Amino acid sequence: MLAGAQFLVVGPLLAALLTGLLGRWPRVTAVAGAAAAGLLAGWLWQVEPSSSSSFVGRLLLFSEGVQQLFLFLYLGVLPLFLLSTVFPQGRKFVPGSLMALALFALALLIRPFMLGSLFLVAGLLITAVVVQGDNAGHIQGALRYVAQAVIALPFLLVASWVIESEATGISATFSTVLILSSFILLASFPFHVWATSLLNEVSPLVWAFVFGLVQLIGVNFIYLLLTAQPAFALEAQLSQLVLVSVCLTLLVAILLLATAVTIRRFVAGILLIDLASVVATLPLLPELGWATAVTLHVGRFIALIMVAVGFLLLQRANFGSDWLPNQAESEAATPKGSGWQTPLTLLFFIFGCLSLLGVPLTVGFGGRSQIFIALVSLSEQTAVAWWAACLLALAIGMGLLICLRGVQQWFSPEAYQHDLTFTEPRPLQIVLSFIVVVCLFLSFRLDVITDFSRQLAQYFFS
Amino acid sequence: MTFPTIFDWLERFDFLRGYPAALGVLLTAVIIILAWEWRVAILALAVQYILLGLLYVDVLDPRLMVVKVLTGLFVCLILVITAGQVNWGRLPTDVLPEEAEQIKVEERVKLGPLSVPASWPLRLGAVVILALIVMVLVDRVEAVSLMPDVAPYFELAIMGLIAFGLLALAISPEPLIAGMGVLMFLSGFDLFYSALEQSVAVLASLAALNLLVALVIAYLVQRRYAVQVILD
Repeated sequence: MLAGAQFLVVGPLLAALLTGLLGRWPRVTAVAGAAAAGLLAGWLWQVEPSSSSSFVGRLLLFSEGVQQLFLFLYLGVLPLFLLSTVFPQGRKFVPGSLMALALFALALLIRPFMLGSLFLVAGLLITAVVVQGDNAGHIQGALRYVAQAVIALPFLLVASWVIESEATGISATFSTVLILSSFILLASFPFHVWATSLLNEVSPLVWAFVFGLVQLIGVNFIYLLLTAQPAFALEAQLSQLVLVSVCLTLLVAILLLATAVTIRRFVAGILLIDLASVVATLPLLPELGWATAVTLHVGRFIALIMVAVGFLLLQRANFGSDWLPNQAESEAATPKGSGWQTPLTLLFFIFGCLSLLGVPLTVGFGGRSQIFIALVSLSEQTAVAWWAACLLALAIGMGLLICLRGVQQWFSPEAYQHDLTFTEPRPLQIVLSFIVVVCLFLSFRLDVITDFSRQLAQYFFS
Repeated sequence: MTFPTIFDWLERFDFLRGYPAALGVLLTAVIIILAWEWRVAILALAVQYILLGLLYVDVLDPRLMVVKVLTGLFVCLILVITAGQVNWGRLPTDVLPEEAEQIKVEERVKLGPLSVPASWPLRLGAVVILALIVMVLVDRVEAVSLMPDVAPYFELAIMGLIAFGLLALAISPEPLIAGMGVLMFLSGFDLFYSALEQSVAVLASLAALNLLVALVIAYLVQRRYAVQVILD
């Protein structure tokens, strides 16, 4: 009989094997994957986390924090698998995601941390296969993802070694390598290139998996290492370094937004804002920083699903690939006024973008406001935090401006002259409206998200 | 007739240990970056793994060293099979160049009797500059304080592999060579970490991770040269 921790590793591996064997029937695979994710989530809901068990002779620590985190992950991956029945993602998406989640579970459960680091990178390598999927030709996104995982490994291993060896007098080394690994895994400047490259090439549903779920595991692992080092405190110099990186990432985001001619580039810009926000949680006190990071991630995941679905529906509508309004090369591709043909799809997509930006009345506002307040309070200690807060506000403002300009162009009074190959069916309108209403309700009840984040932080830090 | 043991082989190749092995490793790294023929690059990688074994012996039990070398050779085997499946980066034999207009063959320049890719002089320049930087760094910069006292040739091999690995990843137009850059980077770090920590579980896991990286690189190379891309 498998212990809880062991089942958390073996269960998804078996599910990955089963769904991999069903690869010939994509929809069946997607449904089977969703069923497996649902079963795992249901099992996690009712299981009592046991204190410890073993895996190949190594200790597995199954805590309430890991239980809650993976409950969220499997509940998050379930809608992605269901959406892949409507928007096929290839044969690798479902089995690859499940296998990656199994390896990530091992990374968070196993001790010592050195083995955890190795399994984390192994999970990231499997995620690179999910990123590439069945796509042929362009592999830069996946290759850079592999590179970032492998380059982060030395820093993670050295930080883990410092913890396990209980070496004294080298806390500065520990802090430095951990912060560098954070920059790489969380796509902070100058390591943001892998993120923008990935956004340019891969399917939007994979964005939600990689940036909404997988990154949360990386953040969790970093915070685990942070708190495992006794009496850890991020030195002032390193805090400055983190905030400088945040500022530079935000500058890149602003540049991307200013030069965005396609929807992908626009989404890359607003996602970089969110990535920078998560990195900005590192100088905060560990429990507060972790809770804020989780709040940001939950908002990001919900927003990315909306952006992904909206983008895929827009592409189906044949609006001229993914040009932003008024940016298309030729009049034939200009989608001015086309919003009236599929109003709810566009509003759904725009709402997703606004949620990712973190403006008020969206699910992303909770995390964004928390980090903004944190940066303003940090600015009393260091001027760089003040610059970071200003750049954050500027970047959000630019993103908002582009969204509003898009709305103005898409819903322009000019009639759309071209044949439409896609019309918005009534059931789709109902579903999209329902989701927007639910998200609006959540935006008024942001305490649901912040309470979940705070509870998760308490589980990990108690 | 007795079959030679690991220790017999080590004794036979004792003359290569130390600086010759370290310099050999760096030479193979340079060949990997500069070679335009995949067969040459993979052969250089295989030789690199064997020479790395002679460096590992300084910090690991010889039996663990053999595991490292075997892992490296399996990595090369994976890359050879993959390269063969994509016809070594060339067009499939039954596809005419006119049918494959999507694939842009890199321009070639004449350097004496040789016809080399156009990016080759740039890569050569980058390799030379990086080699000089590595030598200066090894001379001037203290080894990472975490490491126990290790020989200078050891540090040279570590820094060289990491630097050349990153260079290959950054400037190589071919995904297989870029992937080998990732593997070289991992080898350099593996060498460093073996001096730091000799836990069998971690070393075995690192070896498994090497194989996983090779498999993922192989998959990406196959996707890069998939037939539907050539004929699209």
